[in-house]
Amino acid sequence: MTRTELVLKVNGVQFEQEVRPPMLLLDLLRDVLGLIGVKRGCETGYCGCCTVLLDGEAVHSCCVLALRAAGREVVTIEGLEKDGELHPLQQSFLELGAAQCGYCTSGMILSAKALLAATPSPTEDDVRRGLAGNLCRCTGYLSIIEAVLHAAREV
Amino acid sequence: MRAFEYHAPQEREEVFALLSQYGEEVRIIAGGQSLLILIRQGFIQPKVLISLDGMPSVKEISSQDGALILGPMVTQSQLATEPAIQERFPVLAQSASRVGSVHVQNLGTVGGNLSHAEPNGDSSPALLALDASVQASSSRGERMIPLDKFFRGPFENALDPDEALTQIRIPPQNAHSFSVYLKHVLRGIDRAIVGVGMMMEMEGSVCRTARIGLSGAASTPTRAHEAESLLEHQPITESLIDAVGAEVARNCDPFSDGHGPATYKRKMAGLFVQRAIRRIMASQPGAPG
Repeated sequence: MTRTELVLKVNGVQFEQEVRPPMLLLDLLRDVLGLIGVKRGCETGYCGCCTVLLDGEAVHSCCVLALRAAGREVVTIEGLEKDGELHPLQQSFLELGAAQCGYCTSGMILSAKALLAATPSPTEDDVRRGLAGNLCRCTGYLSIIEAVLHAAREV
Repeated sequence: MRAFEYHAPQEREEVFALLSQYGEEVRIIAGGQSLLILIRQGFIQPKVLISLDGMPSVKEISSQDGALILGPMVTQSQLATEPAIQERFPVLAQSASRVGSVHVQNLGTVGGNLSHAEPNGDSSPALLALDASVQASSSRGERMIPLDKFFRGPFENALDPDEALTQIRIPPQNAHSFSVYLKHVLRGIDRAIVGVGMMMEMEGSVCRTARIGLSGAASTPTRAHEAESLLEHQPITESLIDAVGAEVARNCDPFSDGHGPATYKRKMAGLFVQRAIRRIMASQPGAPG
């Protein structure tokens, strides 16, 4: 039988949903769950603005079927704030001016969060590699890299 | 995307039964990092997808009599970060770390990458350099296919419609083997223009055996057999390195495309093989610098 039932956790909350198999995780998060901090960009697994964490790993949600996330935990940018307190990465991006139009920012922060979980004291090289799948047209990347290194020192 | 059914079997027999039942209308989805893009861009329209995600053991890395055995769903991230792979099979860890970005590596699998049979992939030249084979399984039984016989054409592999790739086997490597993966690419996360997987078994400064895997140098990933013959049983000198690069360039048959004409890609294939040899020589114990 084809699968259509989906049970997953998003930002700590359990969801049960009937989905058509072709639905992408990106579409589930934005169109069904209203989490529009996850952005649509290239939709071909390249630009990274659709980045979410799937069981803690950074993935391009445009290249993941919603049904693939069954039984797993997804974290979007909306899930970083706790009780009105910004995550250190969000705070660093604000303080260091690492967001201009903001479109890449959700993806950048989530990729950085996954990087810092695996590599708590990254070098600049580690940061560049960890963010290689997130493109930015505005900042030229330097402020973003600084913000991640700054947050790493704070955490 | 057009509608399709989605199955996530827990047992091999169920996978084979679905493959036999649906024939050409079914695709196996591993990490989906290539397949989903193909479907969304309309290149293929499968009616049924079989996900291997729920199967036991598909993500295992194990040893068997010195051979390295990879389950089909082993991710590029697993290969890139596993210390044993970094140490014993550096060409494999390095190639895995160059497949797109970390996002692609977290979901992308080595089995899916090989099945996709890109002419310019990263896993293929590394695994060719390691003399890998793949296991093809179906309800009819199992067979091993040497990797250099697995690629039939651009995006075409040697699996029968009812077969699944169930294992990648890397034979024991000789002691004093050194390997490296080099990727010619303009932007770090792009597909390779040319990819070189190089293995050299050294005895002092003499190369006993060599295997050169190339991607982007022909309509499929290939071995550079003629260049390997030049290298083997020879002391490595600068003039030999020059000759090997020229031999690679002479024998490869790349496409012309937006990255450049075939002549450019021939030159790059030769150049990157030369760099791979120099990189291995530089890492030798007692090497200068």
